[in-house]
Amino acid sequence: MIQNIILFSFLSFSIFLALHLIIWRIKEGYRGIGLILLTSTVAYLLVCALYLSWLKLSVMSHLWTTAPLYFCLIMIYSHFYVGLLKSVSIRIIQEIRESPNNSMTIKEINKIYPVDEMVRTRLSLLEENGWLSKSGEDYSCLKKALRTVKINLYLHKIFRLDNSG
Amino acid sequence: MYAVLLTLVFSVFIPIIHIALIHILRKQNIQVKLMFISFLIYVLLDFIIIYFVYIDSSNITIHLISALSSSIFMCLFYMEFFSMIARGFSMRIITDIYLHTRLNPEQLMQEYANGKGIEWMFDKRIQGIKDLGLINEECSQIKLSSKSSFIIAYISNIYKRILKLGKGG
Repeated sequence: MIQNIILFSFLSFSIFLALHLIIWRIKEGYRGIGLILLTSTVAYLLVCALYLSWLKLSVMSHLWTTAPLYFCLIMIYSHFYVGLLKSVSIRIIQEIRESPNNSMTIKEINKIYPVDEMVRTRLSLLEENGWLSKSGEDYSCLKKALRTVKINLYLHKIFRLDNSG
Repeated sequence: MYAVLLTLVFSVFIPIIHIALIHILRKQNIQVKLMFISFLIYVLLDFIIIYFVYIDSSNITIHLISALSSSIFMCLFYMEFFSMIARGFSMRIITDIYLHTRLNPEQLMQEYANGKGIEWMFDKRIQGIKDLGLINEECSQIKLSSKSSFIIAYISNIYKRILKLGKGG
């Protein structure tokens, strides 16, 4: 039974990886965590359907074991994905690796990976997603951002965080 | 089912243990280490409780797998949540704009992180990779300093190419 549960979760995860690869190679644009969640749910349901229709095995009795194990694997993978996709540190390591002598100065890193461009891109994204509004060159917080910032500042006090960002 | 539900309910202890440790020890820049200690305490406590609840059950291994998977899931969820508060770039941007009511991009770069400036964030990232031993600096030249950094760069490059993710970051 344990082998079946582990097999089910790893089969779902393999199907997720295959779907993930196909979708990401075809689709342009949004590649966020929401799409990972959707793809992973589809993969899990596909394997449930496969077990029920072809193997005639009940999956409901093991739902409370296969689902946590599978979504735990998805969560680990999501951290890996977001880490590689968004991490500034990994991007810097990658840029140094691709440079002629595997070495760069801070100025050269800044040239390839300009921080002001990073700020402007993020500001546009926050405006697009309804967190900020822009009037002229100035940005100000919208309601959603105001609520989130108040919670964030409160959490900074609780966690004694002085150097966030 | 109850093993998973109990684990999810017990997950409220992650922030409780984490915050308690922070306020008991009262040291600077120790929050991340304490987060991992609170994970360890939570996972161990959960594992012990589930073990004793299902000690007479014939399916104890299955209950323990469910509980362990759920607890790891909750730890990773909390890690993401804490990382957003402690290191989140977007969160810091909206916080700084809130604190100054309105800012243009140049002002934001100067005022980033309570006036530390955007360069501080960049230096912090560089220092973070240095502390991990992945890079070192000699005569203003930053170099990859270990096999791990070459492996990370290689995996990152291949992975981004396969999934067409661009340069990332």
